Amino acid sequence: MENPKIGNLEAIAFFVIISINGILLSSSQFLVQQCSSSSLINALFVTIAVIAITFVFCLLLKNFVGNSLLDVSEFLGGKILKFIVGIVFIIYFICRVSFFLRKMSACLQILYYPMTNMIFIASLFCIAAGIIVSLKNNSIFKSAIVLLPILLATIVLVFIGNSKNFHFENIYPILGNGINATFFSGFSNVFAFCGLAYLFFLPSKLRNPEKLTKISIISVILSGIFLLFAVADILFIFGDVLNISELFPIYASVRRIEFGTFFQRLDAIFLLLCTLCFICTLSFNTYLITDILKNITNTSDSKPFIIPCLLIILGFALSIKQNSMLKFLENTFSKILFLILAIMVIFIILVSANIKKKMTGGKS
Amino acid sequence: MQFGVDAAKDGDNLEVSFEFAQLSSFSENSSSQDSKPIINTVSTPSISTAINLMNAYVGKQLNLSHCKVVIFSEEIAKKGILPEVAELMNNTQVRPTVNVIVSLGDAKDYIENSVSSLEQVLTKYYDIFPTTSEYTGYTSNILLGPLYEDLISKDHGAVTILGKKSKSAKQQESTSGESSSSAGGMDSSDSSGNSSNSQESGSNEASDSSTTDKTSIEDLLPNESIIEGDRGTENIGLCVFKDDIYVGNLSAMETLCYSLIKNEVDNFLISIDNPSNPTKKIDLSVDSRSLSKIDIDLSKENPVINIQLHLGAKVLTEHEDFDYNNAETLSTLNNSLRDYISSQMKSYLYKTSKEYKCDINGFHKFIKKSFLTMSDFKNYNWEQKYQNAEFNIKINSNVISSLLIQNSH
Repeated sequence: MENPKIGNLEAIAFFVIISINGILLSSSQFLVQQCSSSSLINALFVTIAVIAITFVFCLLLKNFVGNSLLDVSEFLGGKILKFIVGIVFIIYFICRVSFFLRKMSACLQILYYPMTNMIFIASLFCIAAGIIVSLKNNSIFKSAIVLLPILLATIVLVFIGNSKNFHFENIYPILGNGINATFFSGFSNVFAFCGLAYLFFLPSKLRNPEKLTKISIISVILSGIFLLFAVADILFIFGDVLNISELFPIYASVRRIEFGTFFQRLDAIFLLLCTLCFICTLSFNTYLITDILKNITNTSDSKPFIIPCLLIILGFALSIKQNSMLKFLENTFSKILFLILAIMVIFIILVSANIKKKMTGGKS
Repeated sequence: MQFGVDAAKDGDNLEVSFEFAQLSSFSENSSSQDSKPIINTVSTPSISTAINLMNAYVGKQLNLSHCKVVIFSEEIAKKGILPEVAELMNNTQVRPTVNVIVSLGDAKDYIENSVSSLEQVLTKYYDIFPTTSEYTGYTSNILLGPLYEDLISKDHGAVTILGKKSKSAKQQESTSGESSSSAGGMDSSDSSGNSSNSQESGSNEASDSSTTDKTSIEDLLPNESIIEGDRGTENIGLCVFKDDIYVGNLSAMETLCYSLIKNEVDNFLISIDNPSNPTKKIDLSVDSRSLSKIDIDLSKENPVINIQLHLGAKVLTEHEDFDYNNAETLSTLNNSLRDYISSQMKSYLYKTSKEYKCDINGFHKFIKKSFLTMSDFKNYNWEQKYQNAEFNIKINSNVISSLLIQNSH
């Protein structure tokens, strides 16, 4: 049975949860480390920048309503370009989710299962994702709709709960590590919105593909709100003394929340939500990778790809032995890949396809 | 559970004492004898090794997520506590909300004496005692996480809770020390340990006796015990750290000034001289009406720190020469209160800048808005500038009336 078409809410949840996962696990920490006290300005700046970029992309996609990036690539350069774009994005998605899998498994191992080999923790994630992707009936997207409001409410509650520990003066000096770090090199922090790379593979699956602009802008705004809250929480608590932690700093900040003497250790609930958010992200990635593989290989079912895909993700995640390597991969390598693929490649493909469409008068 | 860290008598090792609450003490039928906590001590190079050895000794894995308090001895504090604090921060089980105490004398000694007659469950006592800071201001709720950040910050001084043995514990110790030395028959390590303790307690006792005639809290020195009673320890005052080295203490009054600037105290009691009869004191219940305002002027060579406090007060003690219905009386009292707090604040602030040479109130955070970038701020060299800072205190106080009785005469 094929998956039915995705509704607007489901698509928004899909995009936002992927971005939230990246913000929680790595990009918020990186952003504060790079910009210091100006990280809130930088977060606002990149949110506006991503809204603008998304709007431009959606405008360019207006001539290809209901077509995914793969369809546009096929229109532009035939099956060869479609195949190349598909493979390149598969590699990107595998890399990205593998880094997160490694980080999430490492966090759980450090905190709760120090005696357990990481392979077991990572495998459990993969098994969960495998089952969800096999279920069909849009179960991934439906679970995302349930999880998204909880995650958004959680970050607001974390912010409120931590407010007594806040030092609002940490917002100064207003330009932090300088104009360059805040605005020019700081522009590269658009990679916090990693869901953007996934969005343009969705139009062919949307129930209302003509509403892609609306879906995209709402998703970016929701992700931006989450990013602002996350960055503000880290900045107001740790400020410029934020040290590089093996764990993600929002978790470290949640450890400080205590509502009286009864509600303590709320970090355990927070980590459970992060785990659920990561399972959703892993499922989305697996779903999308197998779908792209199905498209570029012209097979009728994506199910046979699920296990090999998860095994590759698992193998890649476990091949990263040192945390310093993981830090480099998730902050520098991922960022460069995102800027090249999600911004430049998508932009070039969309512009070229539009030019070709104008020149050929809309005939492929 | 809680644990204390002492410097071992031999070499660079640490002597880590673990205190475990008796599970039987949680039951209603438990007697005070049953509820005596278990204390085990191990000498190791680090806290992690001590925990590991203790795991082997007690035959089960200790869970430090239930640790409420960490106590460092004065000797360890003088060497620097950053390595130990960083080690604790690096432990996933130890929470950043653990309270940190520096004990004058041995940490083990502090733990042994730290029993509360009013609170049978020791862990509950450790849970609630730092909250007294909210209504007395004589201590502060110092947590491990923020302490670690203060210790690694170049511009920020750090403070911990000051713990010390109470008068009664010292007296008991000196009595038992005398009887045991006359009886003899102790092993060499014990006798050396006790002799050093008795020397210390002897000197402290001398200082204690010199304070018995003192009546106001600001006269009491921070390293002196204040209270005589059933409890063996007291947590009044704060320990000051520059970088991570212990440099001195804050008395109860100085701690109150620290808490007022930090907005950590809601309500406190203060005794001022009676304006019409300086030999008598007037007790006032003071409450903080709004957050303290801090404004730092960097235009001059040395920073000028302006602090504004908004306080409200009610008179607790009755005096026949005062009519609290009279606005002039209240105004006189108001001026006295303002002058008193202002002088105490100045004395405290100049002590931190001139004597301790560290900004424990975190004034550096307020000057950051005067700079555009972090590098500009770092170039200003706040750590050095603070030592020459000037302080202006403005108190907006309002003595309203007495509490319940307006005029009994």
